Amino acid sequence: MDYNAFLEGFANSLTLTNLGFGLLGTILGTLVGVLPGIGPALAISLLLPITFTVEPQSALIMFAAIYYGTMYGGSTTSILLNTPGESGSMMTALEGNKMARAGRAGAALATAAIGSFVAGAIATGILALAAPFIADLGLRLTPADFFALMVLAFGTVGSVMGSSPVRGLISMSVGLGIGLIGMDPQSGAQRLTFDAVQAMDGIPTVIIIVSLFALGEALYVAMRGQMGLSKINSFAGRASMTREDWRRSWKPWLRGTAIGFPAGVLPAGGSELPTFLSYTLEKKLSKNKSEFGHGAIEGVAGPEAANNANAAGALVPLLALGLPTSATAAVILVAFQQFKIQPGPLLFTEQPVLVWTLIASLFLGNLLLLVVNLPLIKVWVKLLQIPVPYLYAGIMVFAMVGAYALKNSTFDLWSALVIGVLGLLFRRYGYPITPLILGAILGPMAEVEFRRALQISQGDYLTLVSTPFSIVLYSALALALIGPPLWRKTRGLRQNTN
Amino acid sequence: MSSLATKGAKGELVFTSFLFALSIVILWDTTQLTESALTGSVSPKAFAFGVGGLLFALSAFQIAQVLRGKLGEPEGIEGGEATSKANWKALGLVVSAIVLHIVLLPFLGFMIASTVLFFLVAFALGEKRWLKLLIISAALSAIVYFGFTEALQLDLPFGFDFTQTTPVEEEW
Repeated sequence: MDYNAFLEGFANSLTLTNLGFGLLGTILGTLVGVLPGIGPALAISLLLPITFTVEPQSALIMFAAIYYGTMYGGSTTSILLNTPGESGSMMTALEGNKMARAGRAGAALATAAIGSFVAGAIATGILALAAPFIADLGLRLTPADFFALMVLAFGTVGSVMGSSPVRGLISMSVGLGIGLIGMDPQSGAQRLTFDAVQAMDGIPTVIIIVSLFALGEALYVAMRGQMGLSKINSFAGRASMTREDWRRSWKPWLRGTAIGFPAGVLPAGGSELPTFLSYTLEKKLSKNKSEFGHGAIEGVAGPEAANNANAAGALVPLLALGLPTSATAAVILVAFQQFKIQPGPLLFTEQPVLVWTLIASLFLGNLLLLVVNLPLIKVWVKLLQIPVPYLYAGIMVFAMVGAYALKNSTFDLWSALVIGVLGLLFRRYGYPITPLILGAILGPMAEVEFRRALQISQGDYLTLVSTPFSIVLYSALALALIGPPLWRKTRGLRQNTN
Repeated sequence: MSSLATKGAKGELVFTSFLFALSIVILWDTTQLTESALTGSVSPKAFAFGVGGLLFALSAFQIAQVLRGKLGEPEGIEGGEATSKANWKALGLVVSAIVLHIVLLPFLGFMIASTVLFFLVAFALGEKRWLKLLIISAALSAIVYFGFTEALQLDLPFGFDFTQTTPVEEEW
């Protein structure tokens, strides 16, 4: 490890500007986590215009802080309102809301916040240790290996998310299709542009994310939503835990971290899966099984730790390999690219100070979140009283500004409308959104590696499966796709014979 | 099967068929590509055929699933509840709000276009006190406009700038 860059990075993160942007990010992130209808990926996309005026370091620190912050904020709404502000907090709502109703809101909020802090600190530590090592490994990978890595990501993200693997994979392929749009940089061929000049550069990632998350969501809420403020659980006194709460929380925190971090590193597409796994595990291990469903503190502690560790885990493949594994990581990748910085194996040698500043800021941001969050809970509760129509209208205005500001072109706004309607239909018919986004972003990257590999082998397709690494990855993918249905089938058979 | 479920099945069948049609468009477009004379480069067709073929196979399979009655579960709604009946009026209003915003933006400028957008979206989602809403819409649009143009140096159309012919858009 490059200790000089590490120290310089840490010193850098302590400058007034960087601390300020870190603080701003944590507050914005918490806000985004608290409010329904807006998640971290959308929030960062809407803030991308600041990359035109703000220094790379400061902007990236803020975006990473937003990512961490949403994980904190989401728990507040889950516990006090029973409406998770973002998808990673769904599991927290199960037990957390019950605890709040039983007058234990303070303990639920505290175990969520402290658990998030513990998980964030451990996971950021592992990130700092593991990322350079993985980047080193990344330098030795061939284009065929990289292509295999991305195919694995397509397969797992597609099949893990959503109600059925086929729906997830269809969503992924639609994303890959959108990724094809535009002029192919290598041959100059125009794919799916239908002779529109404005489509030559392809559909920008920001447009895709903004239209799916902001427009798609608003359209769906208009069509299907029955809005009304749900009752806010009363919360008096301080967010604190008793000795008994601590005793019951610390193991779930660590187990949640152990589940969340690897799930973030692997392309599992976000925080739904690890929080769900953590919840199920805690339920299984708990000595107070009967309490589950009526406000068991383990059911809050585990998933909350898992979703924070997950956010840190997702930064490993992003920084070390340049591969985003969640929608939010994909937007942060776009932010890097706006600054003409390419995350990946070379990042640690080319921009060591930037990387270490970012990682050091994550530690600080995590600490800030703990300090800022608990005393401010009453402010967040106030924010929940913003009427939903105003919230969505506001998100819509910001979304359109963000989409327009990219190139000052109304063509982008029309594409946003079309993709927004697609987002509405995906929601209506139960197709997951995240695979589409990852397909659209990873698709063009995968094609580059695909071609590099074939160029080296002069068109021999066998090169794609010629390295041990790629063979291992493809086998893993086959197992992930065929395994679960096969397992279900044999289990079903066994149950039948019993 | 109840009439409601049949209706949902029909809608989903149309949507799945649309995805299938999308795959045909991708495949057709790929066959229309002219091979470049560049030597050594792998054709842009290979990857596109893969993508189109994947969507083709998956959506065909999914159409069969829908026909067998395996329908998708509509997604839940944050901060409210999902109804089983579609509110076409509200949906139409939000779509028109977006269309109006895009059409008005180059001519009347950001502030007016955004006021219209904010007003219509909030109105569609249930805010009926229109005077209060109008004031908030206008105030917010002004704040956003000056925030973005002054603080972030973004270039948003102010509108009514007749010295400049057709401000942003070329015909397409």
